[in-house]
Amino acid sequence: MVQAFERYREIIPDFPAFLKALEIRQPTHLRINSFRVKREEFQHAMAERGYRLASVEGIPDAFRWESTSGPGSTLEYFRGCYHVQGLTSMFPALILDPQPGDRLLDMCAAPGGKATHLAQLTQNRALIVANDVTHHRIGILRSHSDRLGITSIVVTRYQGQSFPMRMQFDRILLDPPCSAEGTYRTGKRPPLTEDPQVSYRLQRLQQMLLNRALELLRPGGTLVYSTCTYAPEENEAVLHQVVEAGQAEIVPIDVPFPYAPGLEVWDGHGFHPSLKQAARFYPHLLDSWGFFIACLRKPG
Amino acid sequence: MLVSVNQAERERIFEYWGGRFGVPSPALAELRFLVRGRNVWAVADLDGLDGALASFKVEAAGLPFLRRQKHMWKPTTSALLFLDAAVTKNVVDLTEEQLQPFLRGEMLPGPFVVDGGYVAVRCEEKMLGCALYGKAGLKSQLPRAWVAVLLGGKAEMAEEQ
Repeated sequence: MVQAFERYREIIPDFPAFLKALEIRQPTHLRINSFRVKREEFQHAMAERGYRLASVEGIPDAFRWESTSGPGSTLEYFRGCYHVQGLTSMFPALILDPQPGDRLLDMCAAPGGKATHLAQLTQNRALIVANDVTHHRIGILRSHSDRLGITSIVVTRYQGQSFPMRMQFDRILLDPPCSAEGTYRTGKRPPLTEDPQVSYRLQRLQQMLLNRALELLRPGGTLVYSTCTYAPEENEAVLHQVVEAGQAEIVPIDVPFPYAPGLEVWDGHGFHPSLKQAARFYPHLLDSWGFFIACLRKPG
Repeated sequence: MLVSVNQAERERIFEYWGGRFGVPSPALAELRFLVRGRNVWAVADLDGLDGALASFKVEAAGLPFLRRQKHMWKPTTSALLFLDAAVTKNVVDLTEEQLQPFLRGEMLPGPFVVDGGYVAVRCEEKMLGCALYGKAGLKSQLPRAWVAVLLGGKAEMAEEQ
């Protein structure tokens, strides 16, 4: 067993099943690009070429890739008919519920899956500022955005925690750097949290990012905070501080997939009771990346 | 800094797409064109765009659409994919046999019934992107990184959590 996960024995439901799920390879999911192709047309074209796809109940645009060849090696991928994206990675944009006319900020946007999803959900009719600090990762974001035909994304390269306070946003997606425990499945490198200090170091950055994001959010605006880690230090503990301080309130989320509620207690520390309305996704409950998602509203 | 093109430049962009590729004006009407150096971007003309352009140091906006060269424009593959069926002139339809050598960057000798210069390339009636047609033949101008993913050389680029 990966040692880093032992400390979650008491908080992850059916822990033996969780450990078993880690031994199974991660499935590949994709999201079709509604700008370029209709669902039925896509299914038909891929079947004709001999690619195997399975529908995902609950998200019409999502499919599970079941062919042995790589999902990037098709003409349809080249033409931007779909984007390869983990199933749970599709949830933050859906939960944010962006609307045409909104001003949106994806604060740590690279490599671009969630930002391009926001553009798709708003049909290129909402301004999306997609920010990231890493030059190389911005290059990947731009490549995906260009391939998918996105015209509503403006790309910036600031440190998120010092993003300029020159515009307020209706909705913000914050998917900060994290220890990425949720991406660990068989064959992958052990999670960064083999060193327990990693989560505490990341927590400081995550708190700074969240504070700046809330400053950038208009009163009454919505913020979705997500990570691909199980570490409570990087999830509930980060959100607890802003909820306790009245800077934001947790909003219930509705996702048609199984998940566990956010934690109210961890390692002797109590969290604000509303944090149980956050969602923890585990690979034995939903066969995808492990994920944490919370939806926050800034008081009006 | 990215700046909006003036009205005269906007009209030249419309004329280029219409004259060279048969793209009707309505296909471009809702786009704002921004320029920096030789590059022209097309971005949705949205509420808040001017504020964002004025407030932030913007790395890119919308789609890279055209690149100014000495005596002509070069269309981007992302623009041709975006305009797709609106592109009706100077289009080469590749056969299945021609596709692989084209993707590998080999010169296809032709002849093709298109004007010399930058052309659009389709396969199986689906847009692929940009190529350059001259006396020597037809040569791919598709983004190399995209082709590398398609040919399996950079499969990890397609993966995202």
